[in-house]
Amino acid sequence: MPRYGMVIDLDRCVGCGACVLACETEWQTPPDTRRRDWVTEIPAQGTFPNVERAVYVGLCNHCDRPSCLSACPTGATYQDDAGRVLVDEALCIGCGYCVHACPYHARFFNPVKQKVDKCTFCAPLVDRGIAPACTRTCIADARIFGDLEDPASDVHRLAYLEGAARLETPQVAIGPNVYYRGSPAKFDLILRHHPPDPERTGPPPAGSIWQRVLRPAMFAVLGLTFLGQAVAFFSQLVQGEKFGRFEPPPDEPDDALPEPLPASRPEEQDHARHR
Amino acid sequence: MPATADRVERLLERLGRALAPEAAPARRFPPPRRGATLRKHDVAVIWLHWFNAAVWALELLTGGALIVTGRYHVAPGWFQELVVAVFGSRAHLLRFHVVVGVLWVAGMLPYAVFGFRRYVLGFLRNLRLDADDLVWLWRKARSLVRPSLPLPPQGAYNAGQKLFGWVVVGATLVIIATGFIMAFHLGPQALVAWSVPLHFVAVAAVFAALFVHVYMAAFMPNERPAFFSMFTGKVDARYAYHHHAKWYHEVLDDCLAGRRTCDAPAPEGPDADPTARP
Amino acid sequence: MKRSPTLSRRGFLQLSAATAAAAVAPRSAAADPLRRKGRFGDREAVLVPSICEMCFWKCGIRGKVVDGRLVRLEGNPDHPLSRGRLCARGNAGIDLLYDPDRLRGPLERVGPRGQGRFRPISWDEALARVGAEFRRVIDAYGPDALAFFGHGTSAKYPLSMMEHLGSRTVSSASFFQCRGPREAAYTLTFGMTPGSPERVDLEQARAIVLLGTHLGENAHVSQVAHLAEGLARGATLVVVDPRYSVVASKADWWLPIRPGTDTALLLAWIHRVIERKLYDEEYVARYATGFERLVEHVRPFDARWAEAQTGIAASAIEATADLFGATRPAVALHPGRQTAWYGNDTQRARAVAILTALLGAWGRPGGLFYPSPLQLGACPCDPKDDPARPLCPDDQYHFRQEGIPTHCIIENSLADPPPVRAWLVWGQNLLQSAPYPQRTAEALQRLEFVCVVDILPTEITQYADIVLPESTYLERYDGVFAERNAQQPFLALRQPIVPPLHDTRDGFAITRGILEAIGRSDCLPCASIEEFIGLQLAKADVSFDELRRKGVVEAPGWPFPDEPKLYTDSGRIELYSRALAEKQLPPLPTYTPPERNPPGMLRLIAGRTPYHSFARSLNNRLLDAHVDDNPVFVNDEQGRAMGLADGDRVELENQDQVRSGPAVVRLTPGLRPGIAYTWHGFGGRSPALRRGFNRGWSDNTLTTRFAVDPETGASGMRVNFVRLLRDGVPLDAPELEPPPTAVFRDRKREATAPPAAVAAPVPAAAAPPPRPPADSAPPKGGC
Repeated sequence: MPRYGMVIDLDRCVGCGACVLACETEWQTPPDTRRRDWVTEIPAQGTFPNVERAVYVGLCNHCDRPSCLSACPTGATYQDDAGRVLVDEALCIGCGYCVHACPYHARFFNPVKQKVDKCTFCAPLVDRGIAPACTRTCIADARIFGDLEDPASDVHRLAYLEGAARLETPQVAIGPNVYYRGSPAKFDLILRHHPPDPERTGPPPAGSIWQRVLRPAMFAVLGLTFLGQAVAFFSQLVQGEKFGRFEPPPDEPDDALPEPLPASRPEEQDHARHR
Repeated sequence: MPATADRVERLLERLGRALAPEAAPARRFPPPRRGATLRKHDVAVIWLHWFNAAVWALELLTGGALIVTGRYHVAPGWFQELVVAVFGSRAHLLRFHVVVGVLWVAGMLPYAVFGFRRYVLGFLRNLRLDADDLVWLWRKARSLVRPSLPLPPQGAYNAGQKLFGWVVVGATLVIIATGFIMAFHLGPQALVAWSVPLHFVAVAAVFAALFVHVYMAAFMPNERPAFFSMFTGKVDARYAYHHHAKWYHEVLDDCLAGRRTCDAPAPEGPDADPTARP
Repeated sequence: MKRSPTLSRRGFLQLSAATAAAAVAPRSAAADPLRRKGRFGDREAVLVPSICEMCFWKCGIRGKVVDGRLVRLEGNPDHPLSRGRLCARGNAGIDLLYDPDRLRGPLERVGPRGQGRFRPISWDEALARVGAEFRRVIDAYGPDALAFFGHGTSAKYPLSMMEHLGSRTVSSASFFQCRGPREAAYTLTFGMTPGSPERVDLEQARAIVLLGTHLGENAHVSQVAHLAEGLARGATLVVVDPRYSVVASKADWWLPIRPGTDTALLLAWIHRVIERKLYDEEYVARYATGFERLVEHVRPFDARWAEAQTGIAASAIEATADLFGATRPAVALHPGRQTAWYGNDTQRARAVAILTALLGAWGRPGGLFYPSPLQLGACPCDPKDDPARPLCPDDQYHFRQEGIPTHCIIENSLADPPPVRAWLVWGQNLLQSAPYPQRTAEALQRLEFVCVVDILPTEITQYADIVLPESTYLERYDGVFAERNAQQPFLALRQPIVPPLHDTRDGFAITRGILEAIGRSDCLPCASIEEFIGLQLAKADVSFDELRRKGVVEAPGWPFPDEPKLYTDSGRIELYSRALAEKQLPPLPTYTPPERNPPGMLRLIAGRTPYHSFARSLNNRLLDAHVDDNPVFVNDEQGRAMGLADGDRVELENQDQVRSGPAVVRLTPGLRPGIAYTWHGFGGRSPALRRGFNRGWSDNTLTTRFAVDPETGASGMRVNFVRLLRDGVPLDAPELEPPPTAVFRDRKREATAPPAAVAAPVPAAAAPPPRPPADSAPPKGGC
């Protein structure tokens, strides 16, 4: 099975945004929330004329150890055999936990589909033998896509042999499979301005409170209930309460009915006789 | 210490009276003959109960299998796989869970629409906790560790059942609301995000309470008459006289006043039909 | 020389056996229908190859049509230049087709001219009116009274019409506001223009020189790709630009030149190249003329002198010249494209051409290559390439091409009495493209008749008497393009991807309609564009059907002949131009120092953003979502000294007290002090373009001055100065002149340094200003 990855060539990229427009028209993401991939300029930094500028080109990194998978309560988000992190739209309820669990802000809620959306490495296209839309459209040939495990592929060479960099920090190192080659100075700018966010490796408070507080609490309650029930059972046994059918107290007259019960109006009588 | 216990009881009594002012004491009737029964639940109620039971069973099974990740899951992996295998795919499982949930609401809607006074308000009235209930609870709890004073008379549902009722009513509303929010993405994302754990908590609360309810109803032989009442609609009158005294007297009072249909007492005598209704 | 597709595009798939089976099926003429089948998502689509027109670069595209609706535009991998690449605007072309504000049918003015009030009329009515008016004007005042402003691939039909009608009052914005100076300069020097696309062999170059060209931010797709490839192959890049553009950030040498002094730099380079004998002696001896005079001419222009003029360190000037010497002849000196800057532009372009010649780069790999002789079938409809000397003072602008200067026509419309009485404006938003739009608006009010042909209701349409709607490039044929200016020449066809959505027509049909209405359909004997194409392909190896199916067909070319082919009068490369001398114009490049900034003011310079094609894409919803405003970039130190902060809103007032704005200020260290930089074309002023209306602010409003290039009549527009005002209070820009400087970065050494260790994020105190949240809308680009 291939293990897909991408390399962005910072020397080639001109930050033109073609990849973003290709992706959003290919996958019809709404114009005001297009986020499957992004091109963010880091404006010139420094003092004239000693300056550096860079372009942060990003998309879902389809990480080795994605932090988003475990955040999903329904299992809608999963990683396939080729390493691609995908969303099963039939299972997605749009709760957004996974959005919060991505340190790269690669996921977003698509208000048209009412589901979470993200880059899929153009899985349906790639599976038909066509390179991803962003890769094909790039005007500077700055995106290289392929099978990281294939020693003959460019991504393998660039990522594993020529030291293309990963956008990782000591706090967040989940193995992103979008690498960056080229100008180390530009990569440094990107890493400094857009590092993966260590506050975003798990679900939002709704999910983390569920995980850390509510779930253990409910298990405790269930356990206590069970325990309480067992204690009650045994205590009743011990205390000798009759473990049998309900029986009225023995001193109660069996058929005492000192006062006749009022008769109902005949037409209201229930004629069914109970046998 | 009895003194403290006493003080607690008096506190609870006061609280209970604040919750539900004491009703005028019903006329006191003597216990009924053996074998007599009183009609407690009509067909509609019985159907609603078992409909709920069936829905709960299905939804618990499917719901449990739907929560996947290690962070939140409740059922072991083999269970999930088993359930998913039955449905073919997780997507089908989810769809089923949602459909059943919607049908559940559809099934209860007629009661809310056509029988609001009787089945909603009436039911809620029966759940009202009063001083007797609180003292009952206290004495019942104490009875686990030492013999206690006799229990105060209870209404149609005893205090424990009332508590269960509240849990179910509250949780049902939360479950339906959060369920719909999740299934159809109603409202902003923050609402959907919080609906997930709230749904789980409400379900878990009912599940815990169900433990007790099912045990009490189905396994506690002492409560067997109550169990049968959920099938036949009728409860053993003697049992009612002892366990739900206030209700018993209320029913007979109603019969006397003509507010309720009651049967004529069975004729007395050795050849009298012992199973005849009063 | 064909570049094989890189692995990034398609190659990786061939390695995966599992996917090879699903790869694109081989194309055979017999098997394929005219329209190829493909997929879009999970739906069957019809794929139609065509040519983009979101700008003029003409990249190959493929449209995917599902159930009659265009759902996707992507690049055509068969196109020899773009090879499947397509920029942001090309991808967003779908929105042009479905733009709700599009012109849907012919319109007739109602109410005063300029208010943009129209009523719909039929084509017959509209054409009859246009024909009648044109006829009347020609009969009453002579054919020269009818003026034509044209742009776009369909402009050649009305241009031909004008020629047949006898009018010489034609103007092409693409020449007079853009390419003019370099076309004239290269024609004078080599006998031909550098071509469009420019015939620079960036891929094989050992050194690449860009003067002001911000490649990448102008998304000239194939050229960007070739530059990227050339750099990847190790070419040394020299960028001369007062602004740290994207491409400057890739350069080995960034020379942050003082605006308007480029000619001084070039003269110093020529000086050094000659002095150190870095030029190709044999080449110059064999093919050039006037070398001795050139030597004499550049004698005073040494690096020291140039440093004082340009603000670039003399050492850098010398080092870069030495670099050219070391890498010649594979030195790709980009001739520039928009070269109408300061009014002495042909002279500057001549200097570039001369340096190119000295290095022996003309006709050599890594330099500039030759066009293919590819010819299409002759059609009597074709306009001549060289219109006769038309109306406009005959003792001026002798080296103009493509008509007469824009400002001449405008002035002639305002004269008393005006020689020009009616305008036909075709695909050219004059009020955004031509400088001094206020004057243009005046002229428009004076005219007797104005007809505008356009696709969207742009500013110029608001002044029309009759508006004729042209179909978008996605709905029409255009004449076959013979791409000669590529190392792999080819024929390309633009064809309808969908039928016209509205009651619009293609340019050929419109022209024919006008001619029929005038009674001169003999000028355009072909009945339709299809017939025209048939004539074009009459002698070609490919049939119309085949071209429709493939979209592009390759043709032979000889980009690097053994002997350079020179079409000058002398048959040699004219370092010294006799033609110029004959017209009392400087035969060798002269340098005119630019005027200094008026105190407190900044020089207004405009460029491009890759998300837009100046004004014409402002209504595009997809592109607007990314860039919907043009900031004004100011040097950070200078800005702070003025009391400005990043994000402030300012108004701009130019030297003629004209105002524009509000503009958002972006302070940047990547811009030489003394400059206010922005993206041209914003500040839409046509309310009919609802999305583009008032988006950003208009730099063109402030371009009230322009410097006319004596050789061509092109309008240099970088001669306007602005003062910034905040809350109505003028802010004076302090004089801030950096010492002579240059930036050199040894990129190759940087690249082979061990990879940077994983960097910890900058601690909060030292962190740069907070960036907008990642989920927010358009990226605010840096300078």
